[in-house]
Amino acid sequence: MTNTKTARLGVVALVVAVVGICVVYLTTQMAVPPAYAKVGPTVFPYAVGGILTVLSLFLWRDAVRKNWHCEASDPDVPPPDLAPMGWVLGGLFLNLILIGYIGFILSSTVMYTMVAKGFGARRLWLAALVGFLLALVAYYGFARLLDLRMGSGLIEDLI
Amino acid sequence: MDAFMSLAHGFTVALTPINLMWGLIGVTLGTAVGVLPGLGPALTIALLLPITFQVEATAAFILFAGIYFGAMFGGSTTSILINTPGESATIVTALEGHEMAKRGRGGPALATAAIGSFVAGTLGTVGITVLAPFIVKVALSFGPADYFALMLLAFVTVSSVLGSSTIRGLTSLAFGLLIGLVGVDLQTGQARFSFGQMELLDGIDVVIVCVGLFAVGETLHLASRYRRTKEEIIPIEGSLWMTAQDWARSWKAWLRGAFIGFPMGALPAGGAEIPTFLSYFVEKKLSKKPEEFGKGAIEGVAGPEAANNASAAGVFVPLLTLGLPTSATAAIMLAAFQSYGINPGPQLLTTQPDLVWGLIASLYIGNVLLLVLNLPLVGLWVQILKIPTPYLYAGILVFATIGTYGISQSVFDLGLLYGIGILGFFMRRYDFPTSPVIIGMILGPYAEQQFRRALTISQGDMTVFFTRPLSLTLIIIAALALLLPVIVSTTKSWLKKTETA
Repeated sequence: MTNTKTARLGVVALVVAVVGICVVYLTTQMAVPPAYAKVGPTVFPYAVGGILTVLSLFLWRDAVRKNWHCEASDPDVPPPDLAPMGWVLGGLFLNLILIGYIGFILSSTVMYTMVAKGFGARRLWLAALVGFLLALVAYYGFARLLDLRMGSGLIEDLI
Repeated sequence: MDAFMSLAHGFTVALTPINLMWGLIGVTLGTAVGVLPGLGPALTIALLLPITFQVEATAAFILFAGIYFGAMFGGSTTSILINTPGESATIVTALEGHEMAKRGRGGPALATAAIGSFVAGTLGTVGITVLAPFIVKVALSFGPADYFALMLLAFVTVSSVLGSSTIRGLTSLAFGLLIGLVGVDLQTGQARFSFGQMELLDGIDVVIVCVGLFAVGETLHLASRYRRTKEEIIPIEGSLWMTAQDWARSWKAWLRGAFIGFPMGALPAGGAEIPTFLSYFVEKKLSKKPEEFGKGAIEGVAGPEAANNASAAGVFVPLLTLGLPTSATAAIMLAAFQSYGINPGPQLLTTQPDLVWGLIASLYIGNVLLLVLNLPLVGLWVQILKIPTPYLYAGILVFATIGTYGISQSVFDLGLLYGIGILGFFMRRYDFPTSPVIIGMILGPYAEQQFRRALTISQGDMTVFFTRPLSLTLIIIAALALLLPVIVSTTKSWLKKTETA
């Protein structure tokens, strides 16, 4: 295990520590009615924050002792393949932005096509078509069967 | 016997055409998600949770239980034919089963897995039938302190068992507990960790967390590495029939697997992995041909597959009698109980006999349906493995979006879903188990409730957890489960040091 990899594990331990400390700090900021002071709503938050902080120390120890075997620290596992991940994340991000404006069906078609591209689909027009049909069927299926309301959108308003 | 009378009544519930239909849908859907890599029962049930607003509780749970059992059956097909275990519980099946498939014995491997699953699933269901009323009698005397201690024990075992490191398991669990704390505290009305966001006051929906970790996180993880791994489906060659020798070598392994799997599933010890590994080693030890192991020994498929299914049945015992989930799927089912306003616990058997016994009866029926679905129709399931990866994973993300956006139409929730997905990706990279997050967020609020109830009864006296014999025993076991591995490894290294000195 190289030092950069150990450092990365250290960062993970640090993140856990920061979360733990933040939880404890946020709990101190809660205004609790004195009647509940003893077994009130802050006991569990303090405990969880404290446990996370303590666990981060153990994680740190595992990182330093190189006793933390995972994909990120395994020299045989190649680093994450960024291009496919970029397409998938991009698809999710676009969906997040577009869904409120153009509706679930079109926005999910865009996401579907980008994720399919990320996973190596060659005929993008076909992926877009499949995505559109899937979103359409799913919209109807879920909306009717489970009574979910998927909101309105460009296509949704037509049908 | 009383239990069997109740069971007979359960069959009259489960055999109504409408419930039979839900059972059939459940096992079919379950087999499909079990076969498809990247989808699991916890995720599927989470996506279907909105159905609890539509159909009555018995039907919903028959559907969910069918999915759960079906996924166990279907998972073995994938492990045997493409060597990518869909779930951790089928890793061992892949060891021998894939070797058998490569040697042209895929048919018998699938057969012994399916029949073994059927035998063990049925034995496990008999186990539930006999054990559940008994545990309920014991559990009726539990006080809040005992429940809290029991949940503490479940927390510890779940985080040390589900994964390779107790520290990372506990970290996952603590994150789950933290997520469970978000929102308005029901007893005092105090808002916790909601950052002034309206959307967070009601707490974070378990669907968002489950779908985020299991669907979005998994997809990102696969995207990061799919170009570097090659998968190939081995066509089923030869007959599905097992030879007389296959039968002779399988049946004992099935029974042993069932007897290893059921108790380990029923104990709050979490997960189906340990019993499958245990069964594998037992079979290897007892086999007359240990040299065949690693090269496609049929016992190595029969035993672990049986153990896997028996433990899946075992999980229902603590869930139905104590309201204690010991796997991510069981935790989601507990969330479904919440959605119906049903409090699972020892009273469930008396207040909802139709639900409980109908569910148990449906497990017997489901096992039969699954045997039929998985043996003669296995060729059909192999076909769905041929869905191209890009279309499959893009589709999973569309369903993930529907499952969350459809409930609330909130872009905030969608953002939360994708954010938790990214967290899930990093958890995979750094080997944090994801199931404890789900169990922590569902069981955490219950544990807190029992903790505060116990202290209200004792008027704030913390010693209540240590003066009740049951609670004390459970806390001691939890402490031992947590500390024993540490003590053992420290003594070992200390012994080594003194030896070399």
